[in-house]
Amino acid sequence: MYVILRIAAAVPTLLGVTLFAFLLIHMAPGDPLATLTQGYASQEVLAHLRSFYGFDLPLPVQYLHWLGHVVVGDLGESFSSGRSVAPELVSALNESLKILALAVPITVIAGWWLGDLAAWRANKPLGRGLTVVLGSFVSVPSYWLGLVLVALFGVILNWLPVMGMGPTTTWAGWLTLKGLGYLVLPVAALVIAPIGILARSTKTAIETVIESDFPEALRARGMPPRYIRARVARNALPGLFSIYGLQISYMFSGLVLVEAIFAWPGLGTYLTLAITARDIPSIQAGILLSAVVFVLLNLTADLLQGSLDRRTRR
Amino acid sequence: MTATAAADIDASPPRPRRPRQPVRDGQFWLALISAGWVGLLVVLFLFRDVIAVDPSAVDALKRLAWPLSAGHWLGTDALGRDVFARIVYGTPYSLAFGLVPTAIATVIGGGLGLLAGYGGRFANILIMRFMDIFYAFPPILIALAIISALGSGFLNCIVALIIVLVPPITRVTESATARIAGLPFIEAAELAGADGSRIAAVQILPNVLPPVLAYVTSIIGIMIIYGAGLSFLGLGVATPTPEWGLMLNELRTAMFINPIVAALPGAFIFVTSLAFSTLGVALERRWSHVGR
Amino acid sequence: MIALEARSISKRFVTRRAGSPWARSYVEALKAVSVTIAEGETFGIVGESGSGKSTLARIMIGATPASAGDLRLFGEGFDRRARAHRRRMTEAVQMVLQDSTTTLNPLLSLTDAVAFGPWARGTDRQGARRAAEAALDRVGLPPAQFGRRRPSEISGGQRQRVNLARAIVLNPKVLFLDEPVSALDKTVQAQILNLLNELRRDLGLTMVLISHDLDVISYLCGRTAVMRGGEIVEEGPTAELIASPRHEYTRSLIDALPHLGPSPASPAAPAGGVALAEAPLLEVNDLKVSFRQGAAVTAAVRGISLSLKPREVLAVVGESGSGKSVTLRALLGLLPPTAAVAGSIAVRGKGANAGDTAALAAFRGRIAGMVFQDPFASLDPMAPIGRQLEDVIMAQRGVGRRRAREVALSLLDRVHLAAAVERYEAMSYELSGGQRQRVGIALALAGEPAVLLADEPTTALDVSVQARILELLRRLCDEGGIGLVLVTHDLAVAREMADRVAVMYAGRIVEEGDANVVLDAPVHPYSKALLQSYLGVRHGIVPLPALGGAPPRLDEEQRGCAFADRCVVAIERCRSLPPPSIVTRGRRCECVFA
Repeated sequence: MYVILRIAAAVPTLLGVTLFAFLLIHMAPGDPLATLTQGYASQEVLAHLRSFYGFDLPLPVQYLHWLGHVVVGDLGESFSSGRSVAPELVSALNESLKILALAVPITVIAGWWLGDLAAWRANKPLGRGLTVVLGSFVSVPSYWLGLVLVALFGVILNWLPVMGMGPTTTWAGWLTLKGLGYLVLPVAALVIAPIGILARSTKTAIETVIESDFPEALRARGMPPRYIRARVARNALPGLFSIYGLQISYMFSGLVLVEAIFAWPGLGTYLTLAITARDIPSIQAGILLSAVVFVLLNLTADLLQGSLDRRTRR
Repeated sequence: MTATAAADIDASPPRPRRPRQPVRDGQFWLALISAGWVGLLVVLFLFRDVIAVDPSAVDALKRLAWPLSAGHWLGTDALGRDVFARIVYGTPYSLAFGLVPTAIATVIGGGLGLLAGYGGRFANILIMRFMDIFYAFPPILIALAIISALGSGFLNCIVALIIVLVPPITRVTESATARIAGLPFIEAAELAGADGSRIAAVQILPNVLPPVLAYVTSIIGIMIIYGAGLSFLGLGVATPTPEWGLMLNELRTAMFINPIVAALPGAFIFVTSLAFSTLGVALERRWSHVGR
Repeated sequence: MIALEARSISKRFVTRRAGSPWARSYVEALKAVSVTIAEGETFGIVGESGSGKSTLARIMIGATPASAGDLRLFGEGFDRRARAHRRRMTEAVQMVLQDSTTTLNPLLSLTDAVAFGPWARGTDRQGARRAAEAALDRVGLPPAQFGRRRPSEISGGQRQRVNLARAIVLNPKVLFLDEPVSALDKTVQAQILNLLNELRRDLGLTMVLISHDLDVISYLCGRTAVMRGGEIVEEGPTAELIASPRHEYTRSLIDALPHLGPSPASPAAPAGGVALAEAPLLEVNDLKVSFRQGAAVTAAVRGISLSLKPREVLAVVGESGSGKSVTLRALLGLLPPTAAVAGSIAVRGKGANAGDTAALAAFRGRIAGMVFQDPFASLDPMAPIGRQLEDVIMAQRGVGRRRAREVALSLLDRVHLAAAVERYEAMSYELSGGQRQRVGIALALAGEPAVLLADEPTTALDVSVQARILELLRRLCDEGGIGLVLVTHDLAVAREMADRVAVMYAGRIVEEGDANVVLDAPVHPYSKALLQSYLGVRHGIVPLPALGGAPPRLDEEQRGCAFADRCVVAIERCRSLPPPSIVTRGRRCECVFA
């Protein structure tokens, strides 16, 4: 029941997202067709194009047309390349996933482990030092870190490849050690800041539970420290789901920048290029896809939280 | 005052008011250093005419010189321009990225959050659901979307960052406001017959400020990174403006030749962002003692 | 003249049933309740939690809308939707809320807090301040000394005075008080009740007192209404109500009150010495606990000794700050690392240095089990209670889960948790307060301890439930040969349960001995004052002998007797030298005058 409700609540958000993606372009100053025509078209051709693309119809109608196409999977053709958007977008997503598939688990595991460590030793030197270090992680610009890592490990030490994808152009290559070499730097650049944020939030959440009353009661009943740690973790977990979900979605920001540095042909690069070229269908599609993934991710986090903590179901 | 009441006077001394012994621990010194760094940047900028050369002066002969080479403290870039000068001249952009969107978004988001938290259910639903739409997007997406609509440029970036910040600030303010509004002393004020805006201004706002300001100061450092990041992507200031993020992009290819210079602008971004974050943590610690 | 009249007030709250957004269920908080309050009288509304008394009060002052019924204020109809009506109401009627740490704005000084009301109503700043200062003076907090303080710098009793000042500065005709003294120590309660009496008399107030404590109501109120389940079950002049209650619920409320008269349950102490046939279960010797925070050292426990025999109930009585809770925790080594502990503890002959947390860890659960004050907080919110029990049993007794489950069910049976099998999978938040406490007790018994340490086990519970839990504890002791150390601030609880009583003040035991002896005829001035603050169910406005002042700061060195500043019979010697320990007739007392 709760599940259905949460899913139902996500629908208006999704619709709002599509609306936003759609309206965005039309709020922009300037002629949407400028990129397509590069200024070389006569008035007649412009008028013809305008009616072809439906730009002369009232906005709500345009929106519904567009939505109709989207639902079927037709995302239009790129103004820049002329090719169909959908396949290009999907392949870009595929490339991004190669980084994310490694980065997300690392972030989650490291974030939790470090946060837990910092929470339990909060008053000891390890905990305090860890907190400071983690705090500084948050301030690290991922793009700069990427550059520094490349400079250090790629140029100066020459241990790791500097650019490109190497064997990871295929998923099979992704699994190889050599492929891993190409992934290390982008992933490292990407995960540092989210690990800092997640570890900090985890630490705070666990500390809050540690300071509540029942851990003392567990101690008084003679339960071993390992049991208490586990129960504290179990209690802290539900509240953390939303921030973990959020941070994973935020990794998209870092992804855009990291892809730029490492010339990785993923979703971020796709979007940046589209924006620079004012390629409207591509922009719309890219934003739409990213936002939809985002919403689904948050929904999953919510559902997981609900399943672990019955109280939130009320 | 009757005799009985006199005998009843609770003549106890004030409860321990933690003697305002400022805690001079490691965190304090870090905060001091951070403040010093920011101050240094500002001073350098103010005296830029005196201490730095023309940042746009191209010198084809001295390209990608190493730091501490003749006359160029931090080396030169791919076009021979002095990096130190460019960094100094680029300071206001980064500081602006950090401070301006934050300040404006705090006013807007704070006001909306207060309204949503204390202004009645209708206002709450309206405002918070609207903000929820923004939460469906990763921040960079919103920024990219705004930029794609408005076009690139420094001012547009600022606008984009403001829009990115308003929803989270609204949310933080709303939750703090709602929490405070549920406390008994607000109910007492309402029972006295005071009207909403007075209560909001005198009783609620001062109590909401500490957590909100703590959040906001932690954002400044992140905004510096974001703003520079947008420029890095080519969506912010245009060449040849000396902005740290843009410089990082320009120097990228130079990395194979002169990795130190190539990484310099980013180092400045990192350190400045860190400085603001540290200051934020220190301020938060100080403010959380108010009203305890 | 009728001040306030409520006619047929009903209130229903809509609740959504978990898991189904369509099915709405209603909670009938009030069912056609009618109340008439005459001008100048003091009216009491007594009921336990969930009776609807607070809801009724809030409706009567116009803060909450009623679902049905109407309200009349000084003869005129009241409609809370009309601004003019609301203004009339706030000008005539004020309410003082129950005290808590957040009844006052933490950022405002006391004067500013009190001045806010008049200022918000249109008085200029100066005038508002002057009115505030006069009000603070009136409640016993001279503005010169207290005006500039912040809420964090005053005690609970002082805070409640400020709450009062904040209400009376607006010159109301009617004053509602919601649980005005419940959160306060007994000695402070007496102070505040006296103050209320004075204010009523001097300001000609009509008062409505809402409380779960029949003692408090009976002290001040001329007429009382008893509420249960959203209805008034009985109403009438207080004296009559108490002397001859008509409704059985009223009768049960009166009976459930712990009495201070000689209790039929506790066995009379045999005259002369008692043959010490049994070896003590628990022995504590010269326990000292101090906390270090930066440069400041707070001595919470300053050298106490206890002993406990099988089947014996020792009540450690003291108010907040006396060090009683710290003592209990020290026995199991539960204090934080910032605590410095000295002394020795021995259970069943097995001794340990009180500062040796590792050794004391062996006691936990196995030798001594602890029952906590807040039954909700001491249970794991994320695990069903059955499983929590099993885990402890498995850890303590080293058995497998299947056997643990059997033991768990038998334990729940032993603590009389009704429908234990059905409740086995329940989460803690699905149980009532009394049920949770029973589970807490079962958890404490899981390791088959010889001693139970109970920290205010009934304070957080309703009056009617308190009696049953205490009964359960007593029975567990008698049947299981367990000894019980019961920490409480409530003398009446001690009277009900204890074989021996130790009175703590400022970290020391100032008087201890046989319960009958200590409670019937206390010798130490503090014990005497404590006993006198107990109202007992009686009626009549007689000024209570109140203990002025507050307990001493524990981070300062105490040269003489800690109680000297508040003691009515203190002499010079009391302030300069520590009091001697004198034993007379079955009791030990630390006072020159014992």
